[in-house]
Amino acid sequence: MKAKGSVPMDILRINMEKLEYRYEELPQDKILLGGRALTSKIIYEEVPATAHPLGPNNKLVISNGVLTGSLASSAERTSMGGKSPLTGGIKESNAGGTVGLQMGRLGLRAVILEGIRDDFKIIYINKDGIRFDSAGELLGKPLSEAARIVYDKYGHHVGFYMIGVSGEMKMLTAAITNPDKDKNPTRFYGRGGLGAVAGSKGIKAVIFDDGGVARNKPKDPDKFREGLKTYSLWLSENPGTSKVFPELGTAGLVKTTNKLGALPTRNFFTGSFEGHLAISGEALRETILDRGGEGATTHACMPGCAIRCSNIYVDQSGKMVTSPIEYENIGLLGSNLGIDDLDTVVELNRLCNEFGVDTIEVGAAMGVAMEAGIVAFGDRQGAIDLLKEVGKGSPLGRIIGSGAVNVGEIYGIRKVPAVKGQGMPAYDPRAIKGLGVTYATSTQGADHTAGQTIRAQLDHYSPTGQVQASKDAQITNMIFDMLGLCYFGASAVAGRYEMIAQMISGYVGSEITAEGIHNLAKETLKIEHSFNRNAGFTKAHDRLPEHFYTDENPASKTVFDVPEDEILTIGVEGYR
Amino acid sequence: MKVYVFSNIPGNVEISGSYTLEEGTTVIQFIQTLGLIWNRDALVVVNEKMVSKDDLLVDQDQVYLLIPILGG
Repeated sequence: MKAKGSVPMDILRINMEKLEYRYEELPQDKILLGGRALTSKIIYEEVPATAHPLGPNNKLVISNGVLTGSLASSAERTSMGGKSPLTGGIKESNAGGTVGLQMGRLGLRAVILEGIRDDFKIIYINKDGIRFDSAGELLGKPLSEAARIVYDKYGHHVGFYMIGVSGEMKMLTAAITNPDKDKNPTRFYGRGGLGAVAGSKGIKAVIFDDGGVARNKPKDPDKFREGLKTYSLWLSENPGTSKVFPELGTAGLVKTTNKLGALPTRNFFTGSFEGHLAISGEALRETILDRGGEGATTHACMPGCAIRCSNIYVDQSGKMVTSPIEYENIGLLGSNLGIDDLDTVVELNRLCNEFGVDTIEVGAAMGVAMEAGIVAFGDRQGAIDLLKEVGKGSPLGRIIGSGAVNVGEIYGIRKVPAVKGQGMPAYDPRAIKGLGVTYATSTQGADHTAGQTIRAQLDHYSPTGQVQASKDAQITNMIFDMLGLCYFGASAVAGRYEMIAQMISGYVGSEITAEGIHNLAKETLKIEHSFNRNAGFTKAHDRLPEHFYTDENPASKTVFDVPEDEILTIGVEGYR
Repeated sequence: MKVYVFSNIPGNVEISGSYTLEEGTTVIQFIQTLGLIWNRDALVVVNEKMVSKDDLLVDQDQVYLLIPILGG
């Protein structure tokens, strides 16, 4: 292991079957790769596309963004990658939080986890090396309790990745979490079932202890600081990043999507919810302010984040329930289930966090279950009881925990809001058609963070221009994902990559241009599509579910009608 | 002619209200008179429809200024 405190340049490769590890120097051709660019490159090069996602040939790759650890605002995100058990394709899921900083201080750009085992281990990593501890005392516990045990045993300064009971059971909705700056284990790598991949490898937690290690320092401090100054100024000048996110968080979108007819309501039947005001960002803020106590309407998940979009929700007595409450969770666990009560939405969110499942996938699965009549739309207690089955691992819980598509197949429901096996986030693709194109063509399945178009001032109901909008957005999102930047900064930064290139060059000490960043993003998309082709995906997979083409969204009065031949030009067989 | 503005954007809620405009005013001209930057500070919907910057406003139009952020 190299001296710490410099820019992270090592890869740590761990074999879970043999409980062996070795450090590797980051190859020259990967110096400028981080986050999704690095996870996807490693998966493409090292994992057979036909591998079983839970088998010995799949790998779980953790990678810091290129700028993660630089302490630039909103730049501490880390990516997880692997072959997804939910989609069957390549997967990258990223999150904010704190553990990327600690991983970086230990000199690591990436950790590659290989092999499978039946029992569960805690991997403990510090400046002196690695050890494998039994995870017995963490198993079967809610994530908040498991986190407390970790802090008590390893010290309150450590960071960690951890799976919940869902990952132990290898559910397809299983996520991986890491703590926010207040040590709440609620920052999830949610999408695609990567928690099940960790579970298949017997990894309950990976702990990073950066005690005695200096912070990362830029290779060229003057160059880095110059870029950082401009970047910080742009974040502070933009109304979205300086005013909207700190006041309402992402929940500020509820009124926007409801107005556009894009807020998923009752299993995506329509895009406008009569109870949306009760679960809006404004209601969320007022509730937190009224209740006081431990509540916070604005909160940073990463140290030094200027955007501060997070929040801490509290009960009637002012005691914290969970954090954060985000737009997607409100859309999938609220309006999509016909639930117009914030306390219920938050309780559902808390349960997802405790079980370690993806709120989007579980919300979509529960919507399909409600369509099947298992619980009525709007039945608050029924929804809570249904979700608790996931934590118990009962047969019904395992069905819900297997995601929306499986629920639909088992209960004979054809209207399932999912693409390539993955449930849709909280935007109806008939009302935001550019996002519909992203859902259809993304390498990740239905994923708003793979190419978000709602921010564009274009006619979202028109089929015209949506493919180009999605194509551009898929590049933009990739750039943020590979750099470790939060894409909530996109409204201030997107398209102004010269300064980002300067920050990277100054931090890493290897020159890159704005055009070079753009090309890396395109290249990563190409290898992801290539992996998926090798895994068996064809243009037949680049489609929305049939009913979105035929059933009108009553709120927007639209169907999804973007021409298929145009869509396929940026899909698995067409992307060039 | 008169148009009505509805805004829930933090920092710009107070611009909600009615405005008297000259005939022939485009969306972007009106947005700029409100002190907003086009395609940055708001998603602009007029009478339930996303609009282009050069669209003309007409009497009794309802202009919704929606929060222009990405979800999470």
